[in-house]
Amino acid sequence: MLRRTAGWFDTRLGTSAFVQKALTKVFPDHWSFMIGEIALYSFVVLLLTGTFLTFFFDASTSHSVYRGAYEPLNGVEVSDAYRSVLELSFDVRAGLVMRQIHHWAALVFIGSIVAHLCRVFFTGAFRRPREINWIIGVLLLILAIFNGFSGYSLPDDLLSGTGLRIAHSIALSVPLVGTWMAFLLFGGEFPADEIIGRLFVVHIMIVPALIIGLLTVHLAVVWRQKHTQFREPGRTEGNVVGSRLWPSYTAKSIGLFFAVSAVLSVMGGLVQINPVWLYGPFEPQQVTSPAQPDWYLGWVEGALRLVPPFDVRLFGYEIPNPFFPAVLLPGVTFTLLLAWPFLEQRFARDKEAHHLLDRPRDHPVRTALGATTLTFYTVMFVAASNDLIAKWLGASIFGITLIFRILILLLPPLVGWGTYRLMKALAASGAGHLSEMPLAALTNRGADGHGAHVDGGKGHGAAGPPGDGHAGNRLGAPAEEARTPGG
Amino acid sequence: MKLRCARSGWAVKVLTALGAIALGGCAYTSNLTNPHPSQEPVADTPERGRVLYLRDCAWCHAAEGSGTGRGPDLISDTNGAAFTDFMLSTGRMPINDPSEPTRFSSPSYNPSEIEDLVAYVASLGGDGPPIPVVDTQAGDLALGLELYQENCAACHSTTGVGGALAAGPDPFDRSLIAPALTQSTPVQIAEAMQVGPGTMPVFGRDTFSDTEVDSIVRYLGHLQRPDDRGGLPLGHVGPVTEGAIGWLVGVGGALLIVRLIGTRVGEE
Ligand code: HEC
Ligand code: HEC
Ligand code: HEM
Repeated sequence: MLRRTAGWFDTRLGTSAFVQKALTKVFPDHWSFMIGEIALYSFVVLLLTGTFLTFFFDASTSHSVYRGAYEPLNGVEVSDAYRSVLELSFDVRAGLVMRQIHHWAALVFIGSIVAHLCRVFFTGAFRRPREINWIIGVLLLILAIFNGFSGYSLPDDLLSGTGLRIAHSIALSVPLVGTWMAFLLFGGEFPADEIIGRLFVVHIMIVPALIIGLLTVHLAVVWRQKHTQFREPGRTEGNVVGSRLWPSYTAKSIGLFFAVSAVLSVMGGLVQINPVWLYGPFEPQQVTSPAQPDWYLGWVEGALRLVPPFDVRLFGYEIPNPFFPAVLLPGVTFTLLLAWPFLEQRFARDKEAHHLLDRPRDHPVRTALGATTLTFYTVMFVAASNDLIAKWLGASIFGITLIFRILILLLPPLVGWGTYRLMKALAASGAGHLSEMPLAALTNRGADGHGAHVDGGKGHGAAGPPGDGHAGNRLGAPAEEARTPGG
Repeated sequence: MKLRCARSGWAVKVLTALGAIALGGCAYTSNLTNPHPSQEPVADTPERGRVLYLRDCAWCHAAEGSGTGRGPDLISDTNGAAFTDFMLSTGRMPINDPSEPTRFSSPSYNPSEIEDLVAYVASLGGDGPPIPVVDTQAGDLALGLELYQENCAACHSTTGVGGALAAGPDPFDRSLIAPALTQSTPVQIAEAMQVGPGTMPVFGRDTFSDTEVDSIVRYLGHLQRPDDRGGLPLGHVGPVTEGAIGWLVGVGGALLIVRLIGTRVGEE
């Protein structure tokens, strides 16, 4: 039966040749290549749980009376959005665990995108011909952050309302078009009735559709260009070594899907996230503190808290302060991120195609720049909790903020410099792994000039650990596939 | 933390100084410490309130309660039974040193001693309110939630875990802390509203009716035993701890898994 159906399709579409080719496609086994899949599977979990939530969520700011198991709000008139989230949390069977899995999955989704981006960055996997996928990846990150924020704002509770208020003032701060933009997004003065409904459409349709579209292209491009791989014996610019899609890699990947779902389900079942019933319904005249956004916007919140208060007048326009940390900074961040492959091609004078990866030490300048950048955003991210830190330490918020203002200037270059020296020393020591590097290598300044080739260029094939990597104790020798030119 | 044993005064100083340096070097200048270190219990006589007051309080607040350079007067405006009971039952008074911040801690006196002290201080002539009577059951949870969110959450946070208030521009100042309300008793909550300790505003009789006070107290009672039906509460501070767990357990766990099923360079 199956065979006949397959035959029917094959005689009409020639599918079997394609399927044959697809099933024998080779995927590298290095663990870091699966980080992207963590993101993919978190997204699948988001789609599944999100669909469940849409059955019960009511995206409206009209008011109705909540009647249900949460006693302090039983009989209270709240917005439909908030009421439906209360019902999801208290009165719908499995509603709360779905909400919590959804929210945890959102945090892990964006976290694994960032981890994936770091892997691609520090190994130089974005180099030609993979610039396209780097750009798509950055766009996916932006969309994911945006969808996270829009989802976070849906329940219409006091905490997320405080976030929307900040978003509104950020929109207003854009020169020239700010007022218009805020009006368009919010549909009126803050707090506007329109906003929840609009965010909902954005959250469940527009952005997820864009993500699915881009993700498809992203994966298709990986398929077409084939994976990169680390420099190891038997691996060249001309081949790919790893497991075949069927059955080894499929098994692994399905296993990973279950594992990621399991982690997210355990978190959703055991660890409380966003208890909106404790935060209470949003009322425009109320605020709460401490008020932080989800982690993926922590750096923007931190920047808002770190930038000293000043106003700029330009061509007779006043540019409000939030513009700099909350519009300009993310703008510059993502522009630089998008442009990075081209910037590096220019400054490293390397426009060649690369299918073999760098190890971080092979390109110490890039690695150091990456570490500097990560430190910069991490300091901002931590600074978003300045009030909590002040509370925990009993110190002054102002003093803590001052320390962060100093740290953000000092720490990134320091970490960058340290990373540069470390990578140089590691490359020169010839150790296979950081943990195997003798400490003396660090202090050996002479190593600087004549270490291994560190130009990130081609052809130092012996960088991998010596010896035959093919330990024969595994079922099935690694598969190999030739790279066709251009692919 | 309040250390009251005066024989370890030097230790207090060293610790405080170290703490101060650690926190950015807040200048520790005062050399005033409790000249009456004795902690012997005082016999339960009608005189006990006065004896305790003269021994432990008068050197800062003066024998007549008119205040000294070391402590404010206890006989004006809001002062009286409620304020004294609040300060003593939350362990805020007495302190060893006027520059010591007043914080919630376990009280230095037992309830009957507090009662005597309160009666004595009240007899000095403060105009403030008496110790309020709270009937938690008469309160309405929903009303309490609304009033709490509107009047208290901005400082004490929606979940009642407290928060830091913006202090002055001096980076070495300690932040004003709106403390966690997780341990306050119903009476202490009502007292705090009526007297407005520290920088907290006064929410007196003219602001809230008895029912409203009862309602706020009832809601806070609920927040002290909140419905954490979602699981581990993570300190009720919201996205900060959630983000940490998301990274450590979520992303970290997933990375561990791919590390286990994937290979390293040099492995097949
Ligand atoms: C080392 C000096 C010192 C001692 C001893 C001391 N106090 Fe105080 N007291 C203060 C200071 C300083 C304040 C103001 C603290 C604040 O507002 O944070 C204060 C505030 C108070 C207040 C609140 C009055 C107001 O207007 O803020 C009361 C009531 C009080 N003390 C009662 C007592 C009692 C009763 C004792 C004895 C058991 C005592 N104090 C011992 C220094 C002292
Ligand atoms: C402007 C900020 C602010 C507001 C608004 C505020 N508080 Fe406070 N509250 C404080 C501060 C600051 C303290 C600590 C005072 C001190 O220790 O000197 C405090 C202390 C308290 C305490 C004592 C807790 C302890 O540690 O013993 C209670 C109870 C309390 N507040 C309840 C309330 C209630 C109920 C409301 C609303 C009706 C409220 N507060 C509104 C700032 C505030
Ligand atoms: C890019 C992927 C997505 C991210 C990052 C994301 C993130 C979030 C977040 C953080 C929340 C707040 C949850 C909470 O209340 O604690 C949320 C709510 C919600 N999401 Fe998503 N989501 C995504 C995709 C989807 C999809 C595809 C759907 C529907 C098909 C969906 C439906 C919903 C609904 C209905 C809510 C409101 C209900 C509630 O808050 O409990 N989401 N989302």
